[in-house]
Amino acid sequence: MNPWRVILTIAAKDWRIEGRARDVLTATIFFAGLVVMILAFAFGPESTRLRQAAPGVLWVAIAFASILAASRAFASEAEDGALEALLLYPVPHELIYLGKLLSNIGLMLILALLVVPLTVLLYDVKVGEKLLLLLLTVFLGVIGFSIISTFQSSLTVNLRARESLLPVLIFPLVVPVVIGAVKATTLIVTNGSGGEIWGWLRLLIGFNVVYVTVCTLIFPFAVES
Amino acid sequence: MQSKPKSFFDASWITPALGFSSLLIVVLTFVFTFTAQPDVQQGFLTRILPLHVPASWLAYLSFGMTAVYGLAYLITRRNHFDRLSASSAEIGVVFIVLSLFTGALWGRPTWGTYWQWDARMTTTLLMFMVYVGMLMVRGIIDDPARRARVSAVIGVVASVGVPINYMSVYWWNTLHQTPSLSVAAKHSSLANPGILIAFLLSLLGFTVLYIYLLRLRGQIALRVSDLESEEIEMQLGSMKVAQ
Repeated sequence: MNPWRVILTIAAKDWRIEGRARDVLTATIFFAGLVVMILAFAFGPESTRLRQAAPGVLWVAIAFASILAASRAFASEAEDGALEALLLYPVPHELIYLGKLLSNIGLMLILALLVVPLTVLLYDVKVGEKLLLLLLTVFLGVIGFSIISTFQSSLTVNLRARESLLPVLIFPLVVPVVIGAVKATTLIVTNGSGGEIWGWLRLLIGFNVVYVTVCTLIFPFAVES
Repeated sequence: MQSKPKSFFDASWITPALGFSSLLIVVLTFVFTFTAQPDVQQGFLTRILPLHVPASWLAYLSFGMTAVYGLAYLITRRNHFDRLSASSAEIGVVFIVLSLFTGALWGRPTWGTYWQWDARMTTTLLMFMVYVGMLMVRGIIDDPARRARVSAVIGVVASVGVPINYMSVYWWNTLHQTPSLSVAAKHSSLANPGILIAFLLSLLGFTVLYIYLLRLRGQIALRVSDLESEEIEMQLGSMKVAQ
């Protein structure tokens, strides 16, 4: 069977469920918006300070929302033995991970496309002509979060205390993404040099390539029952 | 009870012998460290090196072996490998704390700060957190087979951080210096021979110490799991009596 079709079918299944129930997006978008606003209160009304804090705030909001989404990523699967049914499909388990990953990336990109403009507006950030570069950073950063959070979420399905355990498992691993994305975003909004921005984007690309490979290969062991 | 294959490595004198040899080497290390001439640039500060570097090496070794044993468990499904993987992770956590602590003590007089968010220190702290997370997950899962599988998977994924941590001083412009001793680059910043001997001895001693601790911890883990299965058998037995 065509692997791309398998991946797309699994992702489409999740997107269809999300389109009907709106379980993940409603909660995470609202939560990310709240984080952006609460941190705006914390950093005070002074606009220069807000502008300095904006890249960090943006990525903290996306990272927290991503963890919230991760705990839901396999929630629909955990009920009524749906995960077993999914694993019974005559396809390699690696593709199931990639399908779940794609669906998670899709949802997180929608979230990011709402949080980025919100942060830009509330924190009075000047994006300027580097909008495309900012979008690329957001794209790479979101993928990085999704790779780790989808994987760790699959590992903790049906585990008691999973909600409190997931952040412990996800955060230490995604910190390189947070650092790279925040540095790149800061350079973009302060009109930094292209070479430096590219250096941080390269970190994000490297991280994504390494972890997607490792996670895909080890995923069959993570879900067997 | 599991039937244990008898081989040379099962001999009961090996573990204490390893313990004594590591103790002996550590004592020798102390002698060389404290009799060495003070360094031209760093003075007495250089004496923390034979503790700091081997502790970091041991953390790398432990976390690397955690992944190797984890992978071995996933392939063979022998509980033996799960116990070794978890024991190795525990040893790694202990020594990474030692490494962070001695690094901070050295950093204060040398760099003027206990802690700096540079790439080496940040990634070291992250490695510490990842493996504490792994041990926390082990504590939460009751089913031994699932616990072993999940912890092996986490151990393998987490090991990606080890080479990143090692290479961080080359890839980024960090405050933390590149290795003090490099065979490939024929470079050594350990100028006086006393401290160099102490450094090499300590690397050896810590490696022996790792094998000793791993064996000891593995034996304890075996007893714990034997106890667990005995308790289950006793519960099953009392259920039969009740019927």
